Amino acid sequence: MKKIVVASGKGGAGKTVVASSLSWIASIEHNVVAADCDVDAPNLRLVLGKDKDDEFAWIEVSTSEKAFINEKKCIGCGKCMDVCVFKAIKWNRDGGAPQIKYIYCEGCGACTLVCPTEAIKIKAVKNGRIGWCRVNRNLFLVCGELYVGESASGKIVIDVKKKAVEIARKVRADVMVVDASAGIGCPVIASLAFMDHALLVGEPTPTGVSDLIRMLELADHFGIEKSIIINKYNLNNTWCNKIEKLAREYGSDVIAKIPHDRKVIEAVNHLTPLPKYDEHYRNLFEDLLCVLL
Amino acid sequence: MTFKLCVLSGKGGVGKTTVAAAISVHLAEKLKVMAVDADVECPNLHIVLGAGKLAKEREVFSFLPEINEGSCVKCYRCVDACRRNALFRVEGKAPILIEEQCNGCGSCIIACPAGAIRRRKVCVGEIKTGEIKESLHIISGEMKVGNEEPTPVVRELMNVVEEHENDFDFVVVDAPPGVKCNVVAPLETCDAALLVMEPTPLGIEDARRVAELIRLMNKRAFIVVNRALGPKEDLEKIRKIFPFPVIGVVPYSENVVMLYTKGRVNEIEGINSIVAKLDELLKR
Repeated sequence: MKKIVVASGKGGAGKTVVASSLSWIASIEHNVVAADCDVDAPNLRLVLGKDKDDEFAWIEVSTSEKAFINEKKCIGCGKCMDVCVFKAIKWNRDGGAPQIKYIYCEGCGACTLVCPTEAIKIKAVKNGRIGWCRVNRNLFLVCGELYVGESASGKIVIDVKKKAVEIARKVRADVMVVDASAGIGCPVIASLAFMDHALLVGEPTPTGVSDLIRMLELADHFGIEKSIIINKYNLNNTWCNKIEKLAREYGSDVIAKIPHDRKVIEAVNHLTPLPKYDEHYRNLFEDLLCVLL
Repeated sequence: MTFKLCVLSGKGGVGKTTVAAAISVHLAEKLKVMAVDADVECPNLHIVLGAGKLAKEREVFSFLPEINEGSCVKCYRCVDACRRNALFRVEGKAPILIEEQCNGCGSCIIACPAGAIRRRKVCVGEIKTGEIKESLHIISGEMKVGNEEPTPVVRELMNVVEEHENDFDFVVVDAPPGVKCNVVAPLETCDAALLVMEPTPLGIEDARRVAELIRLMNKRAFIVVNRALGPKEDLEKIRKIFPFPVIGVVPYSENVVMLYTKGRVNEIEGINSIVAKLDELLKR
């Protein structure tokens, strides 16, 4: 099975358009598992036309832990507050028990170690959910969703990928396509792990190029094979050439170019993969798939 | 009092940085403005503002544990205390630290009965500053490539902002996309949020998640709709779904892209009225 991750650094560069199109075109001749690992803003399911929750099988996940204080046991010594490096404990020294600021707490347990009365317990919390469904005869989709304000998104990504691998084994998939989140932090690193190839979406704008460089550095840092697809290539020729040059510098290739075209926006707004929406794009993605497989 | 506005969005690429840059330039015509780039994984605000090369203000450090083999009594209490499994037990030797897993919480230091663990500084990013003109300064955070956690850099950045904010009338913070800890940190220190969204199914879905975060954090918020393609129904829908006032609509136009690549974002249609509305709302 060929495992491809679509990433970009910059948000809105076109990762989800590329991931949905690639999965869909691959599913014409192969069994495919698509995995949405942008758990902050999970959109792949929308572009694949699966906007309704009841079309999925869901499980809740607990990949995060938080501290909880038992006010009855607390003697108000304030030691927990002094030791918390995340400043997640708020306490008015005039009285009352300290309070854990839920969204700041990392569940590290340092407070439990210093509490003289064992008033603090660390408990697992449900911080997201994973859903899966069949999009068409050959295409299966797994998507992860981080609950708002929760942490440990990277661990949800790992769970999404585990589920994707499980389904891929069952259906004997030849291709797995992972849609990563924007940025270059924890969830993106988790998305890159164990993949064969990173398809990086570059945008020919000053900011798009700046972010692409950081993404190329990250791919190199983890030693993953990479290629570049330029989105909205006709926006700006100069910046397009810069991307081509960057590709060479980083030992990579520009393997496809998508134009800045109203049809692309329309396809997304119609919640349809681009090559399905417009025949014109079929060749482009068939060629891209050929290069990747 | 300095007013701090956090520009955010759920979906990436909807125009946070463009809007943040444009309103900063506008506000700087009358006020002293600090533009802050809190998207430390992919900082771009300085590019859009045409700030040139920024100067290093300080480095950001995380504190990772360092175990002294000599004083370690091999009790492995630190290994048990570490909930992130960042310490690896090796019989008869001091535990090995797996740096990528460690978030510097210090539980191992508390658990160690021999005082064999101390904090070691590790550089995880930089804070940079620049001056576009006298009334417009920029402070930008940048995480080192390969690091997992952007939040320590964001937190230090917001500390720097707090140190300097009294010299400014207005602070505009460009936040990263998403709904997790790296967005919570800048939003927490701001007085209000400016939610930028695209009037598309994906844009609305992602913005809905940010609106939930804003509600959880109990902040005032305003909406700017970017790349409005046409149908009035979309805007009506947005007004219905979100409990925040829409204070600006930036129409979709090829011209915006041109202005953006040329660094003239303040000329974008619709920015004027957003700034006027902000002014009005803040006076009230």
